[in-house]
Amino acid sequence: MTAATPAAGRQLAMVMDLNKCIGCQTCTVACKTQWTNRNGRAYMYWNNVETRPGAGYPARWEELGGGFDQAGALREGTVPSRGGHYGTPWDFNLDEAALGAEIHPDGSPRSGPNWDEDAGAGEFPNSHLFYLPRICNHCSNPSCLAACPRGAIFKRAQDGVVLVDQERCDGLRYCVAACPYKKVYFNPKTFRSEKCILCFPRVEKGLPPACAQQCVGRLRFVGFLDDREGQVWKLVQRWQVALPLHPEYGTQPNVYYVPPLPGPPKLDAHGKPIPGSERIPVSSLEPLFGPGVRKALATLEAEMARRRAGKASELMDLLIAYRQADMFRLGEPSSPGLVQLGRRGIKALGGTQR
Amino acid sequence: MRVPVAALLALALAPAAGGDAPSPPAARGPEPLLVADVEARDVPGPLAADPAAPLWDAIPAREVTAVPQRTVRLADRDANEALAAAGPRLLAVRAACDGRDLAIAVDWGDPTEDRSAPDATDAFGDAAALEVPLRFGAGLRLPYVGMGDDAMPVALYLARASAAGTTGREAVAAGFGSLTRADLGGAKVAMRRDAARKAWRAVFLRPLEARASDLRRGLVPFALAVWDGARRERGGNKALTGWKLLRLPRFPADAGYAAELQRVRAPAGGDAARGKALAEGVCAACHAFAERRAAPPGVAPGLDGIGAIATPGYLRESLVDPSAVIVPSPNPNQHQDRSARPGVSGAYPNDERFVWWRRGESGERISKMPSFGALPAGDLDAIVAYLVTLGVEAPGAGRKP
Repeated sequence: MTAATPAAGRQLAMVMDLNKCIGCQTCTVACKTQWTNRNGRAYMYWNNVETRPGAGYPARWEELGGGFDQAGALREGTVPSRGGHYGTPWDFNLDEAALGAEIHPDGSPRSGPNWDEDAGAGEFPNSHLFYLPRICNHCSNPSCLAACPRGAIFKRAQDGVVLVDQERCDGLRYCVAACPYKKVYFNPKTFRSEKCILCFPRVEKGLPPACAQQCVGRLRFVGFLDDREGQVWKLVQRWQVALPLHPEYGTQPNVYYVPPLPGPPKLDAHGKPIPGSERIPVSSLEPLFGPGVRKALATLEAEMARRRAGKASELMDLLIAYRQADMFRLGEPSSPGLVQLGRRGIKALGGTQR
Repeated sequence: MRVPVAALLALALAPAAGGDAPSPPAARGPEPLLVADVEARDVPGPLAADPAAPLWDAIPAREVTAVPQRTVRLADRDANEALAAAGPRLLAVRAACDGRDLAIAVDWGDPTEDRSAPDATDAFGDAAALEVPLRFGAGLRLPYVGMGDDAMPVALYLARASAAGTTGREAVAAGFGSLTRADLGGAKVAMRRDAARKAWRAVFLRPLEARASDLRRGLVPFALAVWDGARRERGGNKALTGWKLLRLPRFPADAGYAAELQRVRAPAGGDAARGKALAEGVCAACHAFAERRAAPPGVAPGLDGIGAIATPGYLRESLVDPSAVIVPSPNPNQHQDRSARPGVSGAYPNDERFVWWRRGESGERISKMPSFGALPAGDLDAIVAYLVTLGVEAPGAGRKP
């Protein structure tokens, strides 16, 4: 056991442009059909899209602790429950409905993923919402990895993907408690914890994760953080319009978000636009994306104005995403022989299992 | 030769003098006398992993105390809240041996029956475990009680209450975090809930001669742990005993080994009050214990409960030669060094202050704790005498089976 730091290798990152997300859940379905529709995973959403403002999934996940404190020490957290946080999957009486019966869910579910879809906040006509797609952040300082007493979680050196070694995992769920994004899930059937694997078997073949490839709004960019030719680097570093979610959690997350613009102006009692009003209050975005959000929004507005004036804007061209192929820069496919979760695979990959 | 078993009342680590303990036979001869914590009953075979077997009613129980693990802290908020209020737990232990197998029955009280469930994310099953050293005997020190250490690995048998009944597992370990499933040759475990008495009984059955582990000796060290699912206990979050000694009357006890064990278990005989003052002045800089909580959390093992799980001999050795047994630090990624420059991916390196050892010139591990061997012998005795009081408070706080 060495004091290996996860800082050593390269890092794959994702940028999601929230101004283009329409909440269609195609990413969610792409992920679910690929990975989580079987064997104890039905309740899990490695990828989910939640409505903001809202409780999210699992419900009120931001209140469940985890991550690191200001001094860099691991913070304790809580394991979410099926009843209180995840909700339980249910079916509908579709067989009866086909014969004309009114459609209703089996049982009487009281919560579930996306329970508060499109609810948002505010009163019509000034109500507002935006969608927040979430996957594992494949953090540079993963608190799930730090919390595992068994060294079962490791971070791959070649792309920073964080994985749970299913041979070492003992289903203790300290990782579930310690992930501040609640993106590690306990599988009660296999008695192991599982999480988004950033579709590493696809990535190793040069393909983007399924959620990114299937995204109809083309809002997900995937590439290495240090690849200056990549659109991820340009959005995160050059333009600084892509921001991490809850950077104060201290895990150095690697999914970045282009924050939502304030939206059309609010309307007064006579239905007239209120100039300068913020439909989505920027003050509500700062707690999510940190203080950089104002500068990012100002940059976006300025570049949009340039474009409207007929001038060139690299940023707007990036965000328009003319060619999907340009959004994904995964480098050369690595050896397909390394597609293994086992310990031998970890060693071969030089992963930082402690 | 059979070593006579006699009571050594002064043994600091024998809080086992339960009411139903058999009165000991009179000591014979000049050999070192050693109290075994549990004596196995010789029975005709075959033995079964059956908590309801009438056999157990015929064997008197010996009580041992398990204390909550407070050496290292885990990251579950709810479990840690429950831990703050957790006291010692009494385990009633019985053992039987038929010459081929050894069966150990452990009874403990637990007000709620908790089982892991096939559809719940936050259900934790009540559980118990038996630990035995892979190697033991004259000339071999006891492993670190917390799942063994590099030089002295242990075998572990685990039983957890699940929806289907009992989930069992065999494993080997050489320190925290190293537990690895292993086939040790056909152990069986079973748990049974006594709803009326609000108690569990777990039975561990294993061949005396198993893969890499031969128990055919007169004196066998063992340790126990129990988990309370209602307190969200799992993994290192548990209550554990120190090393206890099992007498197998069928086999001769090695008088030399008995003498060694007696030495490490012998009370220090120092002035505990003076030891408390010394410990508060020196040890408290890095270790948290009792009311002394000033040490940065995680910078060194916590000492709460140490008196219940470590022998006086081990404690003395730790003071004089801290590198003799190096307790593995918890996951080093728990502390980032925020004063360092982040790496290419924005990651902060780990804070090495929270790793409890460093590498020597030839790669060996050296404890970061300085040796206190230069202290006067009286001071060492006093500190050890104080440390053994940590965690052996009156078991009235525990729950009677």
